[in-house]
Amino acid sequence: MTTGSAIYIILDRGKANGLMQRAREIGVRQGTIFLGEGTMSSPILEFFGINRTQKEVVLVAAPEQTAQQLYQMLREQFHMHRRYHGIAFSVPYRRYDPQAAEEGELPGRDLNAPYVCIMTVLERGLGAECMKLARAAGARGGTIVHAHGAGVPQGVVFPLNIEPQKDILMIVTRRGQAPAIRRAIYEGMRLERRGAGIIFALPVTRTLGLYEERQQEKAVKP
Amino acid sequence: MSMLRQKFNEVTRSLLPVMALVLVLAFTVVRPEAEIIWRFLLGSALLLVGLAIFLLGVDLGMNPIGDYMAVEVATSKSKFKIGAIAFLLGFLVTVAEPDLLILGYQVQNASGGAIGAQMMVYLVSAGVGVLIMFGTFRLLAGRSFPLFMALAYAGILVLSLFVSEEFLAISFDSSGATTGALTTPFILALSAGLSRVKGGQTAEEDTFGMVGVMSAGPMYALMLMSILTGQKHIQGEAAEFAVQQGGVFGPLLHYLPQEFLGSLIALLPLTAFFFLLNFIHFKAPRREIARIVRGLVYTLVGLTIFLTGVYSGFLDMGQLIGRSVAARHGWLLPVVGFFIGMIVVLVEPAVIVLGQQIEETTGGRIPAKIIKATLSIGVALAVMLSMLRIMIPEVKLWHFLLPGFLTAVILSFRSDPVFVGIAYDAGGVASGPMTATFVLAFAQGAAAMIPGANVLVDGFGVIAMVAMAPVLSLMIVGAVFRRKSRALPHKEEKPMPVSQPLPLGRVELYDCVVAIVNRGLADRAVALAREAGAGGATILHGRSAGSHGVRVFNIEIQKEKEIIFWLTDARISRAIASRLHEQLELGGEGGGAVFTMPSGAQGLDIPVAVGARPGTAGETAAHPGEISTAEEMMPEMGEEEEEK
Repeated sequence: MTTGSAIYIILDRGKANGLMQRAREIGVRQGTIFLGEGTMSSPILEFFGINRTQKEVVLVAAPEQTAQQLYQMLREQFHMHRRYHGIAFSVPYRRYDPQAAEEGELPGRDLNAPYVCIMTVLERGLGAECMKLARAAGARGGTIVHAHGAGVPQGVVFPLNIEPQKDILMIVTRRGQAPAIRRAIYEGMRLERRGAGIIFALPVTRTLGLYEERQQEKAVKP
Repeated sequence: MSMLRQKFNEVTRSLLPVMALVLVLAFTVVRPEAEIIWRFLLGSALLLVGLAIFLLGVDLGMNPIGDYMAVEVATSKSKFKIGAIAFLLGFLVTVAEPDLLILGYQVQNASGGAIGAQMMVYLVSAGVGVLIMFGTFRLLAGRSFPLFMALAYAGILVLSLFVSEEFLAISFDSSGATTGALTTPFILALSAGLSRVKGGQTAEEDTFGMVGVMSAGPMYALMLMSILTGQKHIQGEAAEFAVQQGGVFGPLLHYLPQEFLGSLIALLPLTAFFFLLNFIHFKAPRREIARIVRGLVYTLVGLTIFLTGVYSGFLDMGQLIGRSVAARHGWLLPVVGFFIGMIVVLVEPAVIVLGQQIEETTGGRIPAKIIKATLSIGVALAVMLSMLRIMIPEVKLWHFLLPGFLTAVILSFRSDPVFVGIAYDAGGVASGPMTATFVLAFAQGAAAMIPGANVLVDGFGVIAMVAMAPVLSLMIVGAVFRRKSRALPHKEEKPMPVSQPLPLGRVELYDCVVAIVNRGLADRAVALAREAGAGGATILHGRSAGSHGVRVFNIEIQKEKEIIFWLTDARISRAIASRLHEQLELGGEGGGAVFTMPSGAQGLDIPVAVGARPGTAGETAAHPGEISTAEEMMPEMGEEEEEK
């Protein structure tokens, strides 16, 4: 088991490849990219049904040293500390590696992470509604990723493997706000119903480009 | 950046080269009246606005309808019902296509009334319906797609021996007219929906190909009609060309109501069918319906504006360019044709929709860029060769079509499966409204000025060429791609280690286990994890940004990955990780990794809800006894949090 941070970087669609090229220069060898949708809160855009933006999510696993460099790069070359330039956040992980020595507790379990990433898995199409609830409870923004559940074999006429289509909503928020948001989603989406969806959270040890963070920076700078 | 702005950017990027080329030609070779240039500029503006709105409408309206229909078809209880709905969809989406009716009248006039226009429209629509039905059965039954298409084309080849060259050209043209601006996006959405419902390892390749299947329908219908009625020859000239009168805005006002009506009629049957099924069966939530209705309105408005722009601004311009170039610099025709073909195809609505769909389905692994580049080159060559054919009467249409399709069919067995579907689709996708107006007008203009060229046959031949060339060019790229992407060496399965007993007692801590595996392995990974005690999983598609991507034309094609999330008891997460790691050979040549992340214990007072969707049985929760009720899950954590 080796440890480090899994860094999620969310940015406008089409920019992920360029980012990975730069990241390779500082020693990030592997990354996984998937497509997501940003959410925006604008009643006007919502009326016209165009309140979505296309995003890409990059997932990079890096040891602490590299993560440091990566964040520096994101700030200096991609200006992620500014508005509309994307966001990044870290979740501590253990990577299963049989060669590495056995190692005990993860540096995240007891850590008082300043932020959490709330992941909600819902039926496809409900992501936007869920985001609305979260926003009412204090969340600033979220990203929707299209996913599917594991196939359920179901022969009707032909042997089909029906894959239930899902939305995953990822919301990064301050730790203190998380319970309220979580409760709002849980109750609003009625997740107590069996199969309605699941919700869980991951500790986030570091962020870049979040609204809250920019506010803080503003506050520090006179 | 909002969705609408994104669409605008996308359309602008493809439209600007077209405008630049046309303006350069206009000021150097053609020198038309100022009025024509103003009309062209106005037409371009309308095209930009209309296409952007239309694309939005496809996203919001057409795609969900396609999804609903796909679920309805795939989960029907009997083969008869599957066949009937698939047939109806193919029939309804085609029967109201305005281009098809126009073609019908042309054929009616040319055949001296022997073939009625309405009759032809019904026949062609029935042809599409039958092919869509077969295509659906093929997809659901999981039979080989290259074989299916090879048989379909073999049938066309046999029939084509019995029909005249004019009829061959008309048949291809009707197939081009069928795959219009409205039908293609819908059929793309339908097949995407079908493949998603079917799932499994071939989901990705099944997403494409239905448009190719559908475009064979009209050819069968018309050729059979020619053979059965004995109607062999079609005479007649294309209508005499005259520049439209009425100042800058005249043509616009002429076309606007006409295109609006045409688009409305084209949309109606399918919409009506959807709402009928919705009323008796789907009962979609009102929010969803509101969104779809909005999407349909966008589709209608966008299509009207787009077509008005194209007809009022591009039609004359195309004719004039063809005439002037042919009259003054005959040798330049193939060159101009090459460039026109290369850039005009990128403004085709269906091409943009296909590009989006490819990126969505492959998780960005196959960039839309490479498909568009290949399409461009294919269509460029097609238009260039068509020009040569107009200039040299000895060269016949089938001299290109036969070897072209033959090579494509052979290559389809050696090409990357995803590319095969995309390639067959590309033929129908490329021959949309822009080809049918601008490129066709250009070819007819050129044919009119060259002695010995037949406006009818040569003009129609262009569409047949545009429908063939991209199929071939994409097949070639697909074959190159498959050669380059080294197949993962097949490894022997290791004997399964005996599962460790699951820890007893309630779950106190949760881990989120994330595995990143090569595409197609997710099902196995889920099964392995289940044996080790994990519950259901959520899977998403992504692509690897590692260094082992394959480069084709300097565009990197990345490996496709599946990312699988499980939420498990923290006490067994390690066992799951090790099992996945060993059984799937992660960390070896093919890449892939397993991570575990702590979860759920962070600042959350409501526990995880786990359950299965009613009816689909066990999408999550392998040990429901332990993770069923809310309070059992992580009481300590919740309290701890509240204390802080």
